[in-house]
Amino acid sequence: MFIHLFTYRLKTLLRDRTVIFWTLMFPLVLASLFKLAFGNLASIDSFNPIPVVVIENAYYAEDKGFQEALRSLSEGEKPLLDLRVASEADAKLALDGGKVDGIIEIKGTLAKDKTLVVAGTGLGESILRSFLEQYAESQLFIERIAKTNPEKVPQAVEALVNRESFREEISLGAKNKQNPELNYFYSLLGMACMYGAFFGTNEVNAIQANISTRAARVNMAPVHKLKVFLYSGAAALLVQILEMFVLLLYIRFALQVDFGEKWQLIVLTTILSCFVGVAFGAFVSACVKGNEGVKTAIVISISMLGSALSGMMFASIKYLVAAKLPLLKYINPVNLVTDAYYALYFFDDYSRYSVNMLGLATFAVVFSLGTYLVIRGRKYASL
Amino acid sequence: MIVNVEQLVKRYDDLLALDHLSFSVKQGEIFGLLGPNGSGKTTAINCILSLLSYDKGNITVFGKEMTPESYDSKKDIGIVMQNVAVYDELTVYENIDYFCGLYITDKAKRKGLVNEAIAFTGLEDFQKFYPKKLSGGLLRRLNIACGIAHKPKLIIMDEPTVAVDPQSRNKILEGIQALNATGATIIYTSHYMEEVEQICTRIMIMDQGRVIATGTKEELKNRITLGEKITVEALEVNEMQISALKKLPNIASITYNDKHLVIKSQKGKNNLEMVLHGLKEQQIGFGKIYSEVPTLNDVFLEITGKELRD
Repeated sequence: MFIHLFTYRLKTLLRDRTVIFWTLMFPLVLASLFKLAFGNLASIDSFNPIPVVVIENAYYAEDKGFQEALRSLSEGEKPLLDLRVASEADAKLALDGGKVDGIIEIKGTLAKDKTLVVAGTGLGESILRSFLEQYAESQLFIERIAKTNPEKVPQAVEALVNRESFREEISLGAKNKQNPELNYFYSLLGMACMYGAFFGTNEVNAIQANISTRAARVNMAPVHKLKVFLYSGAAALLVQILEMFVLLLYIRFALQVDFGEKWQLIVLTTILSCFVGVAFGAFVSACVKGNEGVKTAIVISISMLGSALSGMMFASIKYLVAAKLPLLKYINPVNLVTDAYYALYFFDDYSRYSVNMLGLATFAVVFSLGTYLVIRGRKYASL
Repeated sequence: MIVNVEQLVKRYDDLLALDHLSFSVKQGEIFGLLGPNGSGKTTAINCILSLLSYDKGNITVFGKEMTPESYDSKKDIGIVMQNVAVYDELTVYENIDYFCGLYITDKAKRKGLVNEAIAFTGLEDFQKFYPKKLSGGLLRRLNIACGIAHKPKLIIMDEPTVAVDPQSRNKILEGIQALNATGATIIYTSHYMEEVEQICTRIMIMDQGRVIATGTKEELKNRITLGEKITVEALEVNEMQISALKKLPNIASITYNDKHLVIKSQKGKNNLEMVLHGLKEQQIGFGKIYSEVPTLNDVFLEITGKELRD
């Protein structure tokens, strides 16, 4: 029975020109257009240290830990920051004149007293904000220890002064350079994975008797409809994974877009993302009352919105979301896929990658469970 | 009994779709479910197939209670839907093989059955065609082939001839009778009374979710008072002449419209002869005369007061 359902489903899917267009041809064409549009982005906009100015005052002069942290990021072969120390007036002039991305000012001794003023929402501003937030979190941690366990403060301060985690996380792999075009391709891959929803939608439509007469015929057969769903769904997942591999290989070898060296994890990410895409479509189809057109519209809308928010149209949106609506980056599956590829390429550390994969796994479970709960019903109130 | 339905009640919110519906289908019958659109035929079928939940009642198929998990019973049921239910991406052969494969796992056996179904429905020349390339009639035949390829003992056909040209319709009806001749019991729903009259061995007329009457077509027609309907082409007829004709024995009603005199008579012998005699007596000049025996529409009209086609 498995082979029968699986092979016929494969035939059906591979002959469905509309679905193949949206899930394979469209992303391939879009990737080619991206290459034409952004191909030179890396060479003309290679990564430069982020210009930042710290206002010179008594608090900054006394905060040795913070000074050390800034120093460690602004020195070495590949400095992250182009740090300057200046008076408040000079700093404002530099920001207004576009000579720096941000102004850091220390207005007191507490964590909350470290402020950042930025003029825009680009990559530099986002990195500055991320750094300052992380530093402030650590300082807050020290302040709490000082209140509860004063004897542990020296150890905590030492840890803070010798802080390396921020630098470690953002340290680039030996062969990987900052490349602004990558995010466009990664978010395109995220969108293509979510287009697997077309397959998922079809699978549920094929077994829900209240959606199609074909499904009613399937329901009348002496086979459990969940069995039909799983066997056919396996074919759908296989087609989606194969299509994604074609897209991945095309982007990597034909368009020469770098993905780094971690191919095993890239494959794993792609497979999990495909599963989430297919499960997402199944979930939408199971939950939304309406014809196939309505469901397709919902799938495309959510995928496109998710892609836009993860930076497929404008890279800065990704950073804007991260800065203003951080929760959104975790509940947007396209962003999780995009960021997982991004983390694999840029970071030696796997913590950010793991968070993205955990998010995707959660979506996979939620979508699958939700779909099961809806479609497990064996009789319908109306057809 | 192949199918037994007892006191079936199905509601859609405030609408009572099936109102204590009871009937049974015997082995070897072509059982016709006749009723106007919205009378509850398809709802009844979907309840029997355990696709629809229902509020009250009992349904048994092959003597066993029918549930979604009744796989033993389902093996012997074939369904031909009102709407064509096939895959556009599969050829004629593949569609039949796919649906047959849900019942028959043995590939060699299935191949034989699929070829038989193709031959039975006359689709030999179209095996490699995709559904979109088929005419409406051929599509309907494919729909039937998908439902019967596994040789079910009970075949349920829900208006299988809707929107089909007369030639294909006749082929389909002949095919249904041939299936019945091979031993299959058939439940056939339709709002086309001519089809039901032509092929069904027993008929149940439904309206508003209720059984109006059940029996063979002869039994149903015997239940009503209408004997025959005589239509006379007459150029001129006045009220006095009509009044005189009304006094003839067995005459139920007379109308005169558009130069056509329509005389409905109750059951009785020699009605036509008497009418001819009456026309002569009243010196009514006439052209053609048609005499029709009652139809199932007349049965429906007399019981419900409305036309089956309304």
